[in-house]
Amino acid sequence: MTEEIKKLFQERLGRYQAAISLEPTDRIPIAPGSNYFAEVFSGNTHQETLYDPQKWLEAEMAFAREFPQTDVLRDNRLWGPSLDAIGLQTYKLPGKDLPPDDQFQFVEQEYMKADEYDLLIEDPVDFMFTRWLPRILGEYNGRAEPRSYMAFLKAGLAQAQFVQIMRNRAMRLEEECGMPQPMTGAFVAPFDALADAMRGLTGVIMDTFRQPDKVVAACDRLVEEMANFALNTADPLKRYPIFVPTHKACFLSPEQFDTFYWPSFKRVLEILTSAGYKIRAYLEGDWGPHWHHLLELPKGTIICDIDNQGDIFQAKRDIGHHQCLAGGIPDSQFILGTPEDVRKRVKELCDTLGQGGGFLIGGGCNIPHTTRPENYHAMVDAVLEFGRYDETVKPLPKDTAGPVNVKAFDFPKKLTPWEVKKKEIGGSVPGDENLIQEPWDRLEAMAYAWLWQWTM
Amino acid sequence: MSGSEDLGSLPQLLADLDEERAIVVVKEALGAGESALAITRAAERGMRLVGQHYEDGTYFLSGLIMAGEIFKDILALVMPSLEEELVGEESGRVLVGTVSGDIHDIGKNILTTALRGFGFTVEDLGVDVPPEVFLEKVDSFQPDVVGLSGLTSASYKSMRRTVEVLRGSPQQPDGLPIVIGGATVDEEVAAFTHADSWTKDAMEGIRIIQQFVDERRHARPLPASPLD
Repeated sequence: MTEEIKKLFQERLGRYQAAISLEPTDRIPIAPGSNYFAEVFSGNTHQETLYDPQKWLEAEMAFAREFPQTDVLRDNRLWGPSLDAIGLQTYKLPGKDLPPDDQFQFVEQEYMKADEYDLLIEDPVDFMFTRWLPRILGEYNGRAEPRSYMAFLKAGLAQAQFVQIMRNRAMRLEEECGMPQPMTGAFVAPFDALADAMRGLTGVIMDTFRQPDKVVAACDRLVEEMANFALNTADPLKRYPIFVPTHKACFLSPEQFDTFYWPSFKRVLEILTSAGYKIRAYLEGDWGPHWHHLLELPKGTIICDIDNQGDIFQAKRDIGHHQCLAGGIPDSQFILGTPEDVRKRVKELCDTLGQGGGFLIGGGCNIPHTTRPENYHAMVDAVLEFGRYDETVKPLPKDTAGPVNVKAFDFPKKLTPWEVKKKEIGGSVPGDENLIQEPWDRLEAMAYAWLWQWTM
Repeated sequence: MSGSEDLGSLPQLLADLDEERAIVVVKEALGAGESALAITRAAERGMRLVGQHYEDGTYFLSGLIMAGEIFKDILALVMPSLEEELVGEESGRVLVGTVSGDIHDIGKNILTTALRGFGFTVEDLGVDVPPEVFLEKVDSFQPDVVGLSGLTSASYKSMRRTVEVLRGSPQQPDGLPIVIGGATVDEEVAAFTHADSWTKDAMEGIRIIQQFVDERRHARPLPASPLD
C-alpha cells in the first residue's frame, strides 16, 4: 500500500468512525451501507455481480476511481455458487431463477410450522437438521443419502471460497483504492430470524395472536445465536460496524414491537456493543413509532439508516442527538429526479441533519441500482458544497484492535467442543494438545455459524 | 341469545381481532340459518372498523394481516352459500397482480382480501406477472380497474411496460383505470409509469378503486361505499 493510499484510507475511515460516534470531522461522509449502483456501474448484469467475483471487484474499483469522494463501499453480499451448492430455496437468483438483469429476491414461506416452536426452543440445532434445513436446502433432504452428505461437503468448500473472495476484495479495496467497508459481519433481530426464513410474516403475525408466549420464548432463545453469528462474521479488528437489516419491525404496532421485537433485539445489541462493536441498523420501512428505543443504547453506537418511508427530519429531532443517522435522498429521486432536485435535497439535509454532525448522506438504506449517474455526481458535488464542517479536523481511525469480550455466553458456540471430543478418545492425547484443540474448535465454531446464515 | 344478536357482535369481534370468538359466532349464525350475505356484511363492517383503526394509527399492518386472515376464514365458511346469494350484486371487478420481476405480495394480498370483503370480485394473478398475462386477463375478466403492485424500484419499469401493453392494445376498453401500489411508489413513479393513480396504502387503494368503479358504473345503482 502506498503512503498516499494509506493516508486516503485513514482519512475515510477516520471520517466515518467520527460521524458514527457523533464526533467532529471535516465533512459529512458519503457513506451508504449498500451501494447497488456501484454493482452495475461498470455494466455488469446482476448475475455477473453474484457469480463472477472478479467482475464484481472490478466494478467496485472502477466506481471508487470515478467517485473518489465516496468514503466506504459495499454492495453485493452473496456469491451464487455457495447458494447453488446446497440448493437454497429462500432466494431466487438472477441468471438462474430470474432474468440475468433482475435483482435477487427472497422467497418467504412457512418453512417452520406453527406447532414446531417447542422443537426450536428446546434444541435449535436438532430443529435445524431435522425440520428446517431439509425444507430450505434443496440438496439436503434430511436423510442419510450420499447426495445429502455431498451437499454439506460442497457447502463447506464453497464457504471457504466465499470467505476468501470477501477477504480478497476487502484487502484490494483497502490497499489499491484506500477504501474502507461500511460494515462487516451481520445478524438479524431474533424476531426477524423467526419471521423471515422460518414462519413468514403472515405466520408469525398469527402466532403473536395465537401463541404469543411461544414467540417471545423463541426470540429469547435466538438472542445468543444471533449474537454468536454476528461476532463470528464481524471484523476482528472492530474497525467496521456489524450490519443488521430490520425487516418486520415496520409492520408491528408499538405494543407488538415492545413485546415481541425489541427485548430480544436489544439484548443482542447490548452483547455486541459490550464486546466493542458498533452496529449499522437499517431501520426499514417506517420506524417512526419505534426508533426512540435506540436512545436506550449507549450514545454513538448504533448507526440508524432511515428508509424512504421514515421521516428523517423527525428522526433527527427524536434521536439524532444520540445516534448517528444515515440516508435522506429518496430512491425515486436518485432514479427519476434531476441533478437540481438532488442538489436541493442535499442542501436541505446538510442544513438540518448535518447540523451537529452524526449524519451520513445516502439513500433509504441503499443507493438504488438504477440511479442516474448524474444524480450520484450531483449528490457528491452538493455534499462538497454544503456539507463541510471544519477542514482542519481530520480524525484518525480509532484504535479498536484488542480482544473481543463476550460475557453473555460461551463464545464461540460449538456443537461438539474439543473437551467433548477429548473425552470420547480417552481423555488425553500423547502430543501437543493445543495443536489439535485450536483447529478443532475453530472449525466447530465456523460450522456452527454456517447453520445460522440461512436465517438471513 | 338468538342468532342475529350473536351476529351483531361480529363486527366488533373482528375489529378486536378476536379470531376464536368471531369464528364461533359465524358458525352459530350459519347453524341458525342466517344468510351468508348477512354474515359477510357483518364481517365487512368489522373490516371497516379495522380500516378506521389503521387510518387513525391504532392498528398497523400486523392488524390488517390478522384481520385479513380472520376475514378469509369467515369467507371460507360462508363462501358456498355466498356465491349463490351474491350473483348480480358485486361492487365491481378488479384485476390485481404483482408486476414482472417482483415477488412481493403482502400489500397486494391485504388489498385483495379487503376488496373481496367489500363485495368486489377480484382476480388475483399472483406475483411476477408478465404484461402479456395482464392483457390476456383484462380481455377475459373484463375488470373495472387494474391494480399493479410492486415493492422494488426495479418494478417501476415493469409497471410502465405493463401500462404500455394494456393501453396499446386495440381490444382494451377506453379509459380502463390502472392504479399502481407499493411501499416505494409516489407521484414521480406514477408519472413515470403513466398510471392513473397510485397509493402506498391498501385502505387508500380501496378508496381509489371505489372511485374509479363509481365513475365507470354511474348508470347502475351502487351499494354504499365501504368507506362511508
